[in-house]
Amino acid sequence: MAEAVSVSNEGSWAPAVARPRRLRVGRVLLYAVLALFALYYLAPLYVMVATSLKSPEELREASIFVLPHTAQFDTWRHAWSEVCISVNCGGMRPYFFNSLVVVIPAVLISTLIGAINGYALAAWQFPGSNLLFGLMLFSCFIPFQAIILPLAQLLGVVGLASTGTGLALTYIIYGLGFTTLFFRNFYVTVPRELVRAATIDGAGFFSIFWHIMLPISLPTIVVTLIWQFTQIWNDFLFAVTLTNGAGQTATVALGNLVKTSQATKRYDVEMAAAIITGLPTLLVFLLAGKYFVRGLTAGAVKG
Amino acid sequence: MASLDLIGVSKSYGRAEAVRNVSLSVGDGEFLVLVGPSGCGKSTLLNLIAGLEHASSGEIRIDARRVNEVHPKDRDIAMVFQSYALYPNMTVERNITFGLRARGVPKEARDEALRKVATILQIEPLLDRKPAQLSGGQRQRVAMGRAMVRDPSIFLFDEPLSNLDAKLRLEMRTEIKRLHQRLGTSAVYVTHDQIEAMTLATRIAVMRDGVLQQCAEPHTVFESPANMFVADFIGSPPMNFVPATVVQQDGGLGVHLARNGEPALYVPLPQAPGRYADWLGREVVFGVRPEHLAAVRPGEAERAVLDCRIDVVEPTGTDTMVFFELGTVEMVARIDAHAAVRPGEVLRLAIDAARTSLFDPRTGQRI
Repeated sequence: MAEAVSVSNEGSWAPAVARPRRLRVGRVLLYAVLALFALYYLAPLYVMVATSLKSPEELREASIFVLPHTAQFDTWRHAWSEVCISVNCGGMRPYFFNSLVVVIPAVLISTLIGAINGYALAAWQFPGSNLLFGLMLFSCFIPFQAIILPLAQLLGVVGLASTGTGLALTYIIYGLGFTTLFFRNFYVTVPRELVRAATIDGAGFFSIFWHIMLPISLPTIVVTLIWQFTQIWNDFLFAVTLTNGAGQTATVALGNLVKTSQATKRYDVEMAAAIITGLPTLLVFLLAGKYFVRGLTAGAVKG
Repeated sequence: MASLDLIGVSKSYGRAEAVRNVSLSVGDGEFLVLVGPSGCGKSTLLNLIAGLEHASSGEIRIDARRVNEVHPKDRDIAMVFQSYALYPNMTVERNITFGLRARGVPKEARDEALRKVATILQIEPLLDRKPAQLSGGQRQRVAMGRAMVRDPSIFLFDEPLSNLDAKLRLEMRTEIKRLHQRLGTSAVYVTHDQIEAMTLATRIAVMRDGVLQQCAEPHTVFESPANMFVADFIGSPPMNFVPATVVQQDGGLGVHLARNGEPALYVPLPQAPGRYADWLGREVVFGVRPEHLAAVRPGEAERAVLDCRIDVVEPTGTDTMVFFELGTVEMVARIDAHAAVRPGEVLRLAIDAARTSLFDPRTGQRI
């Protein structure tokens, strides 16, 4: 900030003195507001981490905003592998892996099918393709609650009730609306001539998809993977309805952990379990976040 | 190498007819240029030949074989697109050999074909680059290489030079002509640029609103346009059109050109074909190209001479355009660049009567 101001002062063409001054005040105000917002959003995370590291005695005595005296990493280990959730005392670990087993195939499959759908709808338009796309988009707006009973019945009929497969299938189908939207909107910006050239070159529907369209949509793939991972990992409603007992996912287990009655309320363990549950999505954003921003704006400006 | 025949080909989208009953043929080794203004159906016609669109009616034959139902990849054609349509994720080498890979050509044969094409187009140093790292002209070359590598029987070009700057366009135009002379492969080339059409074509097909107007050698299209549209579209500046009346004078046929406040100008047509006599005393449109109006040199035999008051002078370097009015129409003449002419002056122009055209004012067709 200071740099920018001094530069405009040096130039002989710089306007009167008052302007940089006003600029500086505006900037300070701007950064103050931004810092305030950042604090506001980071505060819960801070409280979670701080609470998880404190001992129960310390938690009772001091304010939740105070830094912990000594970091108790043992709480995390306890939450990960020892804490009792309902009747199982194996910690968050088994549920965490339940989540991974459901989420990873669901994310990959829904992204792949979305890519094929988007490619077909954008590059091989047929009579009614736009209507079909509209109907698929419609699925994005159906609230979960509206379909949860018939969905549970359907999964029961086909023998997938309370299974990870049934849950993954639900996520895949529910995700198709969004994944198709992302890919279709990218593929319509790809010049039609590209597909035509490949057709004349002798490549078929899937050959063009694998060798040309999918590789050039890398930013869209990353966006879709992040989006789907976040949505599915964080889901609670489907998971709590369609799974039970040992098959439950991390979000459901976290809820049960909080509900499980214990002699003393262990806020530190609950916070540690919450951090463990939230960590994967946080990591995905940290690792691929820049693609997310790039992908969302891809196509806006031709690069 | 092959021949191509279109027989009564039409294409409509709903009620809109993009191509109407077009029949033409491209002989072995010919370079046919489809030319016309935007939306005249020339690109649609090219897509029909490529098989990217299906004809509503009519027949398309390559080497006397009906190909209407044949998939583009089996028509033995290759196409160069206006946007080049290079695969952005592949290197130049992969781009060029993609078609061969898709067809399962073995590696040795692929490498051989790649090397040959890369040598001809001088793109060997670029083989490892991605399209984004190439200049416009280089992309154009790679697109040509991708078309050439399969050694197709027909090349299809869809406005391949339109995205290049003026200088590069000239270079690539010559390059395409040289390649055609060297390879001798039949080609169909779509452009809206009539100069490209004139310079490249062995035959030009002029289209308008989906209808084929004329298909002939460049010379014929230029000298004897089939109608006023072709006369106006081909040539820059376009042909001058003057309302006229066919008359008989001194035992020969000629035309009277109307002039403002002066007696009509008589232009004798010494080599007039006999059919002009049918139009005796009737209104026609007299057409003369700017190139066929020349400044009269002193002492030259008096032919049909126009005295014109110069309105605007546009020197181009190679020659000079002179604009003037004749009656109610604005005319332009292309004269020698050395001629010292100034606006307001009177210039005497001789009409090359043998190279003029007469058109039916109602239909616009050539008489």
